[in-house]
Amino acid sequence: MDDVAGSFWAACERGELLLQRCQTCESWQCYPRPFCASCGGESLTDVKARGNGHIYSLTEVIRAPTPEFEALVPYVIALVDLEEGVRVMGHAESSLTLDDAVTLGFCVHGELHLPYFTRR
Amino acid sequence: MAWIRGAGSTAFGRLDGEHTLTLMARAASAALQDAGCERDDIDGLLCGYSTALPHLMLASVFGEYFGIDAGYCHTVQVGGGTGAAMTMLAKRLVESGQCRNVLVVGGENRLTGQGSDKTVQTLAEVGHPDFETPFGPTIPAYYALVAARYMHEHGLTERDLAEFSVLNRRHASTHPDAHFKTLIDVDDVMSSRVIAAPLKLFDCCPISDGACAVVVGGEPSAVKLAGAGQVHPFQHVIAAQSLTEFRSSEASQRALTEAGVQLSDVDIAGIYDSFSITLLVFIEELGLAARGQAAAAARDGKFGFGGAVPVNTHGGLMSFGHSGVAGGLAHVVEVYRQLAERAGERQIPNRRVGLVHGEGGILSSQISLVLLNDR
Repeated sequence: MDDVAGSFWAACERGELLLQRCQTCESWQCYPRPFCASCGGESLTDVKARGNGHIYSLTEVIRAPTPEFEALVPYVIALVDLEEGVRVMGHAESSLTLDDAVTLGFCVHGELHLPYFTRR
Repeated sequence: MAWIRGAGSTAFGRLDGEHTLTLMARAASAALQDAGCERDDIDGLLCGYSTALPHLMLASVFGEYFGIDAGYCHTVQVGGGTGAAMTMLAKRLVESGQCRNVLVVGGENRLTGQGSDKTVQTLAEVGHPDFETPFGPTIPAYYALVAARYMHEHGLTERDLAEFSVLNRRHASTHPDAHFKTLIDVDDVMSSRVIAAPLKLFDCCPISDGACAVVVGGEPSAVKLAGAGQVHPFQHVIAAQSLTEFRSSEASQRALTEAGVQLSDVDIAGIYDSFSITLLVFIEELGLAARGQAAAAARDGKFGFGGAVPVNTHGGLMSFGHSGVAGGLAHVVEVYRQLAERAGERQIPNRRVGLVHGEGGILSSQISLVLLNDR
């Protein structure tokens, strides 16, 4: 994991979901990088997500990729459209459906604090 | 201009006692024979990767193993779209004058070599290691995210998706080399176990052993490789602008335009079908059915043997089988065989214009090919 990714997950541990934005062209990046993928600019800022959004899509995983995740089955992976206009991946509680309003929390899995969305 | 002058394939399924190189060699030998070529006629070699034999230079390894002395040799990686992408590259190599005849090969013993669990784990690594993998997705989970949104926006049901599992299985039941040949119906798909909701076991392609090969050359032959085009809208699901629009027609239009034909001329197709949703989405994206109408068109018989555009007449990835690169290359082989009238008892009469649509990643890297009956 590089510095940029490391900072993202360290922020999750503090209870913050950081969204990276280019100060030059104001584009949001779907994941952080040391440069802006739209304009190449290197002045980037981390914006703390307010935490409100809607479910763009979700799936309940039954067949896990590894023994580590097998222990969590069933778990829900969601794509959430945050009110900032950025889409993020996270885990979510069960019984949600598409377009539901959700709010951000975190849940611990192994060494990481994963963004976890619940009904708002 | 370039032509597909021959193709070869092994059976797909559980092929004990074989490995990547032996399978590739069998398909390559069959392709050379079908093309009327000897090893000395081949001056270009393109091979895909093998997850069961993850070598950095597999094409060079195969060239040495099989006995090809290539003036152009290179291992290609475009995920499941590698077969279509290699075929497109072979066309460009021939058209540029770089090569006279290019041998394109893909194959591996993905099932007996490393098994299902290891394959699932390996393939799950295509996700973004820092921003997707930590959430525990699998390939079916990524496609399930697509399926859920696509169904939601277009009012589709799981039974609609199931039509494409049933279609592929019906076609595979007529192919002696297919991995899965037992007929299934929509109820069978609905009662199969959930993998990642809404995708169930029969919405997913299997893991198979198998290999395919084609020979692309510059001398006129039965099937002209008339057009090719690509589009690459994203790689990771978290980077996709949309999970309901994938710009597929940009690739197909480039290929159709180069070939000098229209979509309405297409009368046989080989379309990537890693999952039921993949095939449904591509049929609609490419314009072979209106948005939200592919399942109805399938029920109407449009994509069956007697329909206007038979699709995946070998059974597709979903039932003929998926052994990695060769899975996608099998669509090229089947459309070629139907156009060349070399499909034997499975021959569909009077096919003139074939469309192949390959895909790598999650409906992301896409390659379209247009093949013409040039007999």
